[in-house]
This record gives sequence, structure tokens and C-alpha cells, in this order.
Amino acid sequence: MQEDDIRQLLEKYRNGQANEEEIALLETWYLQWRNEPFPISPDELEETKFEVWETISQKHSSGFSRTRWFAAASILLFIAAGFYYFARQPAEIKADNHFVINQHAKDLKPGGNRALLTLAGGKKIVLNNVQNGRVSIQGSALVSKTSEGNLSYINRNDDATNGDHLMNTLSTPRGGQYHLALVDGTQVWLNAASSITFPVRFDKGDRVVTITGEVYFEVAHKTNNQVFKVIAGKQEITVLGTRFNVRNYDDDKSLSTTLLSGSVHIKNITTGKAATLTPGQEARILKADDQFTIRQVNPENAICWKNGYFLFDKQGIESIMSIMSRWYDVDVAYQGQISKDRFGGTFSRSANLSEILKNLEILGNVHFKIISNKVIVTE
Amino acid sequence: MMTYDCISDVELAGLIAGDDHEAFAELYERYFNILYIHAMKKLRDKDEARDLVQDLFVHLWSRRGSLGQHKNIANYLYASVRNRVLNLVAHKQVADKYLLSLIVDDMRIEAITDHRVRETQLAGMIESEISALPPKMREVFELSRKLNYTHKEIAMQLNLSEQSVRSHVKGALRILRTKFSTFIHLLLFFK
Repeated sequence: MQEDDIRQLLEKYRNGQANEEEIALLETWYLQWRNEPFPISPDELEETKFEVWETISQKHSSGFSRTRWFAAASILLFIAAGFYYFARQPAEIKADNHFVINQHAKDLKPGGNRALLTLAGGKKIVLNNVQNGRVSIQGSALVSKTSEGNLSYINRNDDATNGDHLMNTLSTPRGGQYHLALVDGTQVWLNAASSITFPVRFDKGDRVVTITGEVYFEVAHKTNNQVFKVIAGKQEITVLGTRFNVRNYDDDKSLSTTLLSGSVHIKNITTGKAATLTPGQEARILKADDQFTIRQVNPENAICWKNGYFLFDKQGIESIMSIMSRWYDVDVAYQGQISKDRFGGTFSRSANLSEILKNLEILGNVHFKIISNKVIVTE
Repeated sequence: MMTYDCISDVELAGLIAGDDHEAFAELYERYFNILYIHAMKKLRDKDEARDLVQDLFVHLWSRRGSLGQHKNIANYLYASVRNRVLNLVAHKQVADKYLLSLIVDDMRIEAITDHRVRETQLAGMIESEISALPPKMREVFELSRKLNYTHKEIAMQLNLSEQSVRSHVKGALRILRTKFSTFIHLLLFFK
């Protein structure tokens, strides 16, 4: 049998002219052809499964039930309330609920718009305590707090010859978050336990800011193509009018940047290794060994926090508790064997901590005790 | 909400033929992964594989009236993928003769003349690919494999009435599932 014979058979098959013997030969050949496994990531599989279903149900708009499909689908999907254990059907509620709260402790409230502004001279202003309106004048910039509780920097005077490159720092504590507008119009959202150090005016040259924690940017495009740079740990991110999320918490194992729109260039300052991202991509630098990886993600998931949600994506309990400790300003301690269960789903950031913990208890092998501002996690 | 997890493929097909959207969603849930994985294996192209499986299901729904005639839904689906791959490959080689390598290691192919044997071999090959998936993703598929031992066959083996086997299976499945077991063996019934 030559390759040409197969080709001829295929041609006959396509034209519906193959007889029984020829079909038998072709189908036998098929069994042996390309038998080596072709690996596909479970994530890709789930995503494709979902996307194809979307397309199929669109083609049959006559009341195709997608609700059931949603119920059965994977954690890549956005589910409006409550947590989803990594199984197809909802869990049974355990008979004995070990959830305990110290009766005298107040329930832990979620975080809010709290931040500390450190001015160029070192003076610190607690933003949640100041009135709306003017906060300060920094060089040529007017710093004010808007009625929505955001901080904005506006150039009072375009040709100001104030030569000093004044730097301010905005930082959020645990339980805080803040929205800031830089003098060039760039919008910045700080998650809890994060900070940004920035100049009060952008002259010629690059616009450079430094961050810690987790910050989401919507960078204003400049007509003079002035580049915007973010330094986060050993990541240097160069952007040109774009939307992206940067994450570098001390207790994270890697630094990550997720691009929503536009384009960014990421460089590991230590190794010099760099890459350019396109929308929908996330770059990760492993702190331990500087390993640099890029993968496709749903970028909106990276900024759920900014929109008022937690989104957990197959995460273990330690990773989830890290995030809880930053938003609710609690310490976390672990006792005994900790479950290796993975959780997924979305939850509102304005819920009390006890609500979230209760849900986790129901779904997995984990128990919580809240004692004043500490959470103890056990099996 | 009625659950279709515990009914066999054939029963599901019957419901689909009767325009049941939920049943169709269940069939999709059971078979998408394995069909896509197989299409990828043969086509090595994400977009082509995706379009193929998509067209397959769209076509399946539009011809749902005749779905009930198939005794073995899985084999029917596997054969559908195979035929579509063959058509696609046939189409591609017309455009570019050197695009595809059709060579197999042992080119002395002896045709398997019995189409049922070819079907069984195809099923075996496709189903073995499921082991590449993580356990949770295998679960739905493996469960449906077990359900497709017809209740009649189990009843004959155990000298039970078909009805009592049906209720045994449903009861057992419910208990086992709430304990999150990943693999449910009907072989429990076989002593």
C-alpha cells in the first residue's frame, strides 16, 4: 500500500464512490493513522467545551436550556453566588457543623475605601478621615478627594517650572482599597495591602511608577507616545495606553501581570528576560527561580476584585485564606492536617467573613474558628 | 429539576428525539471531551477539531428525530467523528498534496472486513484516550459507560427482574455520589 493508494481511496470516499471493500480498507487505515496521543490541557478542554456549547445553543435560539449546562459546567465560568466545590453537583450539608464564632467577637466586616497618602515631604494623610475636596498641593498638582472617594491629581498649571520631581505614595492597609487618578489621567485601583509610588507630574521621558501588592491600571494614552512603566518587584512593565492588572504580594510565589487590552512589555529586571503580551495573556515570574511563563487566561477574572468580587479558580485553602486575611484584616493560623481540597467560584467582597467561611465549611473538609481578629483553620 | 445523570445513552437518545433540550445537554456533557480529544489526535489542529465536533452536535440536533434508531449511541458518535475526519482529510489533500502525511508505520494494511469489528476497535481506541484526563473529568463519561450495560443484561446475569435492577442502580448511584466517589462500579452487583 502506497500513500497514493490512500489518497485515491480518500478521494473516492469523499465523492461517495467507495465500495464496501474500499471503505473497509480506509477505516482500517484510519485506526492506525496518527495514533500518538496529542496532549490537551484540562483548562483548554473546559474552555472549548463551553465555547462550543455557546455556539451550538445560539444556532438553536428556540429555548435551548443553558441553565442546566451552566449548572454542570466548570469553574472557568462565572457563577453569581456562593462557592462551587470541584464536582458536578452541589454538596450535601454536613450533619455536624463545627463552625464556631467566639460569641463576644464582632463579625468581621469586609474592607472598604481606606488608604494612606504619603506626601513628598514625608507628611502622611489618612484619606478615609479627610473631607472631600482639596487634600494638598504637591508641586504643580492639585490633589483632591472626589465625592466617590477617589483621589485625583490634576495639573494646575501646564507650564509650571517647578523642577522638583516630587514623589507621593498611596498605600492601602489590610482591609483597604483605593482608586486614584494620576496627573496624566491614568486610572489606578489598589487592592488591599498594596501601594503605588508615583511622581506628581509627568515631564519629558518615561512615566514611571512603582507598586507593591495588587494594582489594576487603565493607562492614559499620550499623544506624544510617552511610555508608561510600572516596576513591581523584579518586574518592569512597559505599556503604551492599555488596561492591565499587576500582582506582587510578598506571600505570593510568583509575580504576575494580566493584560486586558492594549499591549505591554514585561521584563524581569534581575535576569533581563523579557516578553510582550497581547490581550488575554498573563505573564508569571516565579520568585524562586525566575522562571518566566506566559499563558492565555480570561483576563476579566484578574480584575474581579476591582468590580467587587472574589473569584477563586481551583485554589487551595491557604491561597484563599491569604486573600481573606488581606481584605478582612485578620491573621490566619493553621492547626493539624489541612485539606488539599480545591475551591472555585465567586463571592461578593462586601459579605462578612463568617458568610464566606460558612460556605467553605459546607463544601470542603475544612473548619474555622474566629477568635477576635484571628481565624484558626483546621481539618 | 429532573436529572439525566442516571439514564442510559439509549434512553437519553429517545428523549432527545422527542425534542428534549436538557437531554441533549446531558449527551453533550458526556461525550464532548472524548470526541474532541479524538478529533485533536487525528487533526492536530485546535480550530478544525473544534469546528468538527461543533458541526457534529449541531447536525445531531437537527436530525434528532432519527436518533432513536441507534442501538449504540457511543459507536454512532465515534463513527461520526471518524467519517468527518476522513472527509476533511480527503478535502485537504486535494488542496495540497503534500500537506498531510498519510503514512502509517506498517503500510501492509489488511482490511478488517467486518464493520462491527472496526466499530469495536474504534470505540476501544477512543475510550482509552479518556485515561489521559484528570479523574473529575472522566467521571461523567465513565458513569455513562457503566449505565450502558443495559439493565436487561444485568438482570439476566443476576436473575433479578429488570425493574429491580433499575431501582438498585439508581439507589446505589445516589448514595455513592453524595460521598463524592470518583468512579462508580456497577460491578458491585456482580458477586
